[in-house]
Amino acid sequence: MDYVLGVLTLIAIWVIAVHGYMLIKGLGGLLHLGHAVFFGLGAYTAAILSREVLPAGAYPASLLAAALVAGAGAVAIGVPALRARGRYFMLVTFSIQLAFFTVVSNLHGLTGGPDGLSRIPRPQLGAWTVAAPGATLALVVGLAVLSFLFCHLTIRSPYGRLVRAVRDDEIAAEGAGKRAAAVKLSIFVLGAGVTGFAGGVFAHYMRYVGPTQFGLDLVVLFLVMLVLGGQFNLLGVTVGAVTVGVMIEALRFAPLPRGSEAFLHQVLFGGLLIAILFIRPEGLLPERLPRHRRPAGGGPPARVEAVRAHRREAPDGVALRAEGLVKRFGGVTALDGCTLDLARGRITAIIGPNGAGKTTVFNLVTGFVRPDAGRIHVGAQELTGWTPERIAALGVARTFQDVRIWPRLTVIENVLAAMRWRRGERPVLGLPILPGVRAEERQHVERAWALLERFGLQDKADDPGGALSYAQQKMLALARLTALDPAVMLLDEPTAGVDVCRLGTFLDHIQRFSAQQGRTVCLIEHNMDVVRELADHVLFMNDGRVVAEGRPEEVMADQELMAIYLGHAPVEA
Amino acid sequence: MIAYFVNGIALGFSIGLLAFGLALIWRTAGMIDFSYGCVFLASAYAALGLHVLLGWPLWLAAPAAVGVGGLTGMGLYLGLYRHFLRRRAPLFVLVLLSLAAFTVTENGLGAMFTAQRFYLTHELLPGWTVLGVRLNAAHFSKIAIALVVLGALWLFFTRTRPGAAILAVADNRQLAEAVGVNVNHAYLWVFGIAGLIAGAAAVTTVIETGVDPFVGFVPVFLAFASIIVGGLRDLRGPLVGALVLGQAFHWAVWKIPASWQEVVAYTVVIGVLMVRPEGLFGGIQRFQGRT
Repeated sequence: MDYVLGVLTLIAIWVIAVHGYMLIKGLGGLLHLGHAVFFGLGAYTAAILSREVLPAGAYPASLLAAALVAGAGAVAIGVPALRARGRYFMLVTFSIQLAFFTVVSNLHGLTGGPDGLSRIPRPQLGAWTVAAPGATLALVVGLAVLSFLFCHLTIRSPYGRLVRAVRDDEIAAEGAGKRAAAVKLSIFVLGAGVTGFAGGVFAHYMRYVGPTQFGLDLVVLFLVMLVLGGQFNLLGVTVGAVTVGVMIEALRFAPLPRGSEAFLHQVLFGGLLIAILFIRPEGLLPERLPRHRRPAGGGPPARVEAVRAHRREAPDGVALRAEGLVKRFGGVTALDGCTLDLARGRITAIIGPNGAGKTTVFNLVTGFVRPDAGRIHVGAQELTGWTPERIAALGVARTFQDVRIWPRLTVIENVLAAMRWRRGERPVLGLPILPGVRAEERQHVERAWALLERFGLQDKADDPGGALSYAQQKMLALARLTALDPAVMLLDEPTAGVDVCRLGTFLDHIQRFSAQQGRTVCLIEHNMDVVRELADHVLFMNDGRVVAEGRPEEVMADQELMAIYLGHAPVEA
Repeated sequence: MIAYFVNGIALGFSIGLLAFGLALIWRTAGMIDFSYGCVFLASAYAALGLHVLLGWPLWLAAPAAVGVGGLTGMGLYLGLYRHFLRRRAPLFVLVLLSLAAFTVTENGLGAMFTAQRFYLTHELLPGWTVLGVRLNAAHFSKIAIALVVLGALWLFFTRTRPGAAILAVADNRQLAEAVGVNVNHAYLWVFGIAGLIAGAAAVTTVIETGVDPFVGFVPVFLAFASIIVGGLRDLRGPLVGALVLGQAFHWAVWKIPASWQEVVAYTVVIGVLMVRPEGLFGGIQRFQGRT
C-alpha cells in the first residue's frame, strides 16, 4: 500500500514539472530541449539549502528557493539563447542539458559529484514532519493542484493571451507595442520556476539527488509526458504525466530480461514518442480556446455617422517627419534620401511603382528595419533607432502587407491582445483573480465587443483568427490597429485583395479613424479610386525617394508621373 | 604540443564530415537530425560485426560499413521522416522524432549487446613518429578520407543532376517543387549521402576508439556545435567550425582536468551564440525556423 502511495506521490511531482514545460513549450512556443536542467537546479537547490543552510522545518522556504534558483537559471540561459531562434534555441538548451550533467558531476564540494547528496530532510513545516506516505501524498497532490490552478489562471490571464500572441507572431506583437523578447523570457522563467519547484519537492521526497537523475533519459520522459496528452492543453499534459507515470510502474512488473531493463524502458518510451507523433501529433487534447460572451446590458453600439470625404486644408502641423532616409539591402538601394512629412489630422497616400521603397519607408519608420542614414521625428521626439515596440507604444502603429493576425488566437482575442493594459499583462501580478485585473479585463472585453460590432466581426468572435477569410483577416487587422488607438496610423495596402463589395466598408473605417481628433493616417495604395476617395494629400515615390507631392487630383493628372507608375515612357504630345 | 594540434586536426576533420552531412540535412529538410547518431552507430556496429564476427578483412569491412550508413540514412528517411516532411510537420515534431530514434537505437543496442565496449582490433595501429609525436593510421585516414569525401561531394554537387536538384531544394523548396524537381528523390539522396558521410566518419573513429552504444553521441553533438560555430552561409562554414572545435577540444585538456573537456565545447557554442548568433561566418538568419 505504501508503495502505491509512493508511486502516486512521484506522479504528482511529474505533473508539476510538466506544467512548467507546458508553460514554456505549449503556451510560449519556445523549442526547449533541456527541461531536466530546471528540475535538477530546483532539486539541488532544495537539497543543498535544507542540508546546509536552512533551519529544520523550513520546507516552504526550501521549495521557494528551488523555484527562484531555477528561474534565475532560466534568466541566465534565456537572455543569450532567446536571441537565437527556433533551431538554435533547441541546440542551446540541449547543450546546456548536456553540460549540466558534466558540471554537476565535477562540482564535488557543492553537489557531492557523481555520488550526489543523500540524507535530505523530509518535508517539515515548523515542528510537524511529514513522514507518513499518506500525508506526503496528500501534501504533494495539494501542491500539484496549486500548480494546476496557478498555470490555469496564467493561461487564462491577459498575460497568457499575450504569450500566445507572441508565440503566434512576435513581429505582429512588436507592431502592437508589446515587448516580445521580454514576454518570451518571462514565460521561460515562469515555466522554469514551476519546474524548479517540482524539483524541490522531488528532492525532499526522494531524500537523495544525483546527476544521473537529471540526464537525457529524464528529458525524453518529460517530452513523452508533454506530447502524449497534448502540449497546448494544461489538462492534457496532466493526463500525459499521470499516464506515463503509471506506465513506468507497470513496466517494473513486465517480464524483461534481467540487466537490460533500463535500456528497454528507454526503447519503449522512445518508441512511444514516435508512435504518438505518427498517430496524433497534437496529443490527446487540443488547445482550448476561451469563449467570450457578449457582456449583457452593453446596449447597441453607438452608430458612428458615416463620414463623407472632405478635403482638409492647412494642416496644423507635422505629425511625423522623416528626413534623408537611406536603406541599402546588399547592393540594392531601397531608399535613397527619402524625405517626407505626414501632416497631422490628414490622410496621406503614398503611391508609386513596385520597388519604389514604399513599404521600406514604413519598415524604417516603425523600427522594424534600421535606416543606414536619416532621422525620424514624431512631433519633437526623435525616434531613429528605436525598437518597434517603443515606437508603437508612442503611438505610431502599422498594418502589414501580409496581414499578420495571430492565427491561433480567437478573433476577439486578437483585438484584446493588441490593447494597452495597465495590469493584466504582467506575469503573476496579472492573474485574473486579482481585483484590479478583473475590472480591467471586463472593460477591455466590452470595448473589444464594440469594436468587433463596428467592424462586422461579432459573429466570428470565438473563431480562431486563422479561420477567417482573407478580407475578414484584413478587417480584423484594422480592428486590431484601432484597438491600439495610435496617433499615427500606417496602413500598408489596406484594400489589396478586398473585393469591391467590401471596399466601401474599408474606406468608411479608414475615414472614421482620421475623423477623430488629430489622428494622422498614411496609406500605401495601388487603387487610384481609393486614393482619390480617401487621400487629402499624395506622395509619389520612385527609386527610393519622394519625387512629387500634392493634392490627389494634381498628382494623378501629371502625365509624366503616371507614365512612371504605369512603367512606360510618357507619350509624346 | 604537436600531439594536441594533430589530434585536434584529426578530430576536426572527422567532426567536420559529420557536420557537413548534418548541414546538408539541415539546409534541405530544415531539421536538426539527432538520428544522425543512429547512422553513426549502424556503421560502427556493422564494421564490428563484419570485421570481428564474420572475419572480413578491414579493407572490405570498412567500405561495407560505410554503405550500411548510407542505407540506414535512406531507411530513416523512408520509414520515419517522409511521412512528416510531406505533411510539413512543425520543426519540434521532426526534432522529437530524431531524438526518439536516437534514444531507441542507443538503448536498443545496449539491450542487445550490453554497454560493453568492443574493439575492432587489439593491435596497436600502425603509425610513425614525427617530431617526437606518434601519429597513427587513424589520424591520417581521418584527414585523408575527409578530404576525399569533401572533394567527391564537391564534384557531385557541381557536376551531377541529383546534386543540382539537392542544392535547388536547399535554396528554396517551394520554387524547386514548382520547377519540377522531385523533392522526395532529393531528400532520399540527401539522407543517403549524409548517411555515407556519417559512415565514413564512424568507421575511422571506431577503429581507434572501439564500439559501444554511446559512442555516437559526442561526435554528433560536436557536429551540431560546429554548425553553430561555423554558420551555414555555405557548406564550408561547418567544416571550419569543426576544425575550431577540434582544436578547442584537445587544447582544453592541456590546462584543465579532462572531465571538463565537454564543457569547453558547450562553452564555445554558447560563447559564439552570444557574440555572433548568426555563426562566425554568417548565414544563419535571425528570423528563420519558427515554431
